[in-house]
Amino acid sequence: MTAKGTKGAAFALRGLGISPGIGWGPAVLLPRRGHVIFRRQLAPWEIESEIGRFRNAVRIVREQLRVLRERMERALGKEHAYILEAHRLMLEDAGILGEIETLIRTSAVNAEWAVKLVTDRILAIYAEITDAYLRERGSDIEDVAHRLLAVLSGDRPMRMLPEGAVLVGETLPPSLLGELDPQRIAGLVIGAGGWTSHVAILARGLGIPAVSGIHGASSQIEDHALILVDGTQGLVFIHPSPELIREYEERQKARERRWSLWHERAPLPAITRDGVSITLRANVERLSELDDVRRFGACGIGLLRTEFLFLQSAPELPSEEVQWEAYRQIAEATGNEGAVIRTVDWDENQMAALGTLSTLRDRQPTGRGGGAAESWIPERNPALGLRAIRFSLRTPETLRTQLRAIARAAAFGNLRIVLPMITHLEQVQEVRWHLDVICRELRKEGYDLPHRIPVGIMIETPAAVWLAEELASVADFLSLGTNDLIQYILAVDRDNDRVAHLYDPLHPAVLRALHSAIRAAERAGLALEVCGEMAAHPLHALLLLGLGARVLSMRPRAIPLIKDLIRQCELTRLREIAHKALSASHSAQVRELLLRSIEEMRLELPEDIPLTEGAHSAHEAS
Amino acid sequence: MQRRIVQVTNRLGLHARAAAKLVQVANRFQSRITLARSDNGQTADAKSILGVLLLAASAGTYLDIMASGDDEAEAIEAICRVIESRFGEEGGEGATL
Repeated sequence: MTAKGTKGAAFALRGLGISPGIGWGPAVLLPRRGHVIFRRQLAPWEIESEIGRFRNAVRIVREQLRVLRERMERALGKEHAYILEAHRLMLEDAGILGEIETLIRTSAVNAEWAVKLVTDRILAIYAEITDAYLRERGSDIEDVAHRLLAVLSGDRPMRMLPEGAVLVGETLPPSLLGELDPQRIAGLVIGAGGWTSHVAILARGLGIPAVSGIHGASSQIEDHALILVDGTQGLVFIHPSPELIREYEERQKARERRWSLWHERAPLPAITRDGVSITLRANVERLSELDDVRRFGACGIGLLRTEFLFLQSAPELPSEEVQWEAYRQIAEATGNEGAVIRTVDWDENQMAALGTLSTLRDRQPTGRGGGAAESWIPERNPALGLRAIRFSLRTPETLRTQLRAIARAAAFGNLRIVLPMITHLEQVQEVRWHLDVICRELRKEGYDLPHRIPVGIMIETPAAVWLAEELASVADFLSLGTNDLIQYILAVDRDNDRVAHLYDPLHPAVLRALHSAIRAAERAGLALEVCGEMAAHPLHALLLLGLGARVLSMRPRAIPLIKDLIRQCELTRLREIAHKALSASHSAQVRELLLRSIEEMRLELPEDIPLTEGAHSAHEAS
Repeated sequence: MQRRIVQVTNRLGLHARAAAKLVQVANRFQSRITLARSDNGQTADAKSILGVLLLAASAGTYLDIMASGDDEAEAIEAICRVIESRFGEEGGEGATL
């Protein structure tokens, strides 16, 4: 890494490309934690209206507090409500308000930024207070500041994002990225997060070029500096020269030409040269991606990640109606081709961060930790903790709400359910029992349900691989979730970049596990779909086909490339390659075998797809 | 100018709720009212909640109260009364902010 250049000097940083494509624009630095607040430099004529905006926000928050206080007085009595009076008085404190307005005026910054600076200063003074109880009261100031910021940003902290911004930070919470208007983001530069981290998956889904592994990015890049992000090669240019930008524009054009060619071919079937038909389906994690499903030639949805619904409604849990509406839209949009809906797959730490955990606790005082959200201790090892199906079964109401919504929506299309992180046969039976009860209830309530809603199992733990035959006997289909499967087989946290290099889809142990699961499905006569990242990588996809997979589900944008490859291949040849790969003793052999085979088969691949680095993936146009 | 020294005796000291009451009382008067901690001389405008909070006057602290203006006598009387009455927190309990 190059050291920080003098202001305006060009320099480049190398990281890991986690979402391909190219984008450039002004850097917007993200803070380490807490509210995301941007500094926006105001033009002189904007200052007065900014002060007006600030005063208006103060008025609104005062009014909110007045209403809240009345409500609290009725419920708890005057004494308890007094705390809100303290908050309201802060918004009448000439000292605080004056300081914020002065800052907006003299530094010509947006109100959010001024609120943040003044709050930070006050909190710093608070931190010096020796009396522990009084020191803790700093949280009252924070509380008021959060209310102000929420009003100022209209509850959308990113509305102030400049056009074509490149977000720079140590991490980017997926919840935040989910809130953003992707049209306004030209790229992402982050410190931590591997190819399969959630932020990477989201960035690729949104078509935002991203580079990770740039540690201390925020200290090396100043706010508003022009940044060029090359997510295909993992390069970040700060203050790029006009020549460099021109060069990238040329490459972008070539990419678009190729893309339009693929587009023309999108309606063609994915059939190998020896006549084997492959089904390519879409992984979807937000409703706005529904258009992409058709546009990129997907045959329905192979994996609907439902976490977005839980993110959107946090800290509340999404109601049955909200979920039903989303699933119904999906059912209608995918018609006969259908969609596979995965029950919510997240862990306690993620839920705690969103406040959803305390909502649950409040609702279920008998639950673990009993009512008090404060007593929650972060899980040391969330990947092995209370997550995915374990969480759903632990909070049956969450599961029941989700199953009810899916069952009701199933009347509008061809929906199936898939259960994440199954390790025990009983888990499947328990969910089935819930589903049976729910279907009976719903019919009694007068809902029209399909005769049967298929339930599948994600094979994504070593236990599920070894138990695949037994699991197949209680499931309607199997789904290979390669991301988690690789993580658990190799015991590598894919988001920890100190060990991320050990995360290797071509590791022989991984290949043998995949093979064994595919064989189990074949023997049981069950459909098997592959829905991890491997399906979207040209080399890995060929290997999966050779191992016997016939249905691949991937982010919609990856489909054209994979389809193009399939149409150039002969399956018999891929089988031979996979057979050889299974006897390899390390992944380098497998990679070499695949690269050599691609050459022998004279497959046409766009030249800028990095095939040799395991973590890299398919080229995509933005 | 009127001046009087009074001790903070409620258990939790000048926390947010107590400070809110004090500021509300101060706001009723025209006079300029200043609080100073006797131990370290730190001062605050009694009409600024932030100032009062940042005094961080815990139980036992002596406050030097100064008021100047047309209604200074009434002001100092009222401020002292609210502090001495422990801000209405009888027994000093129940303040669980």
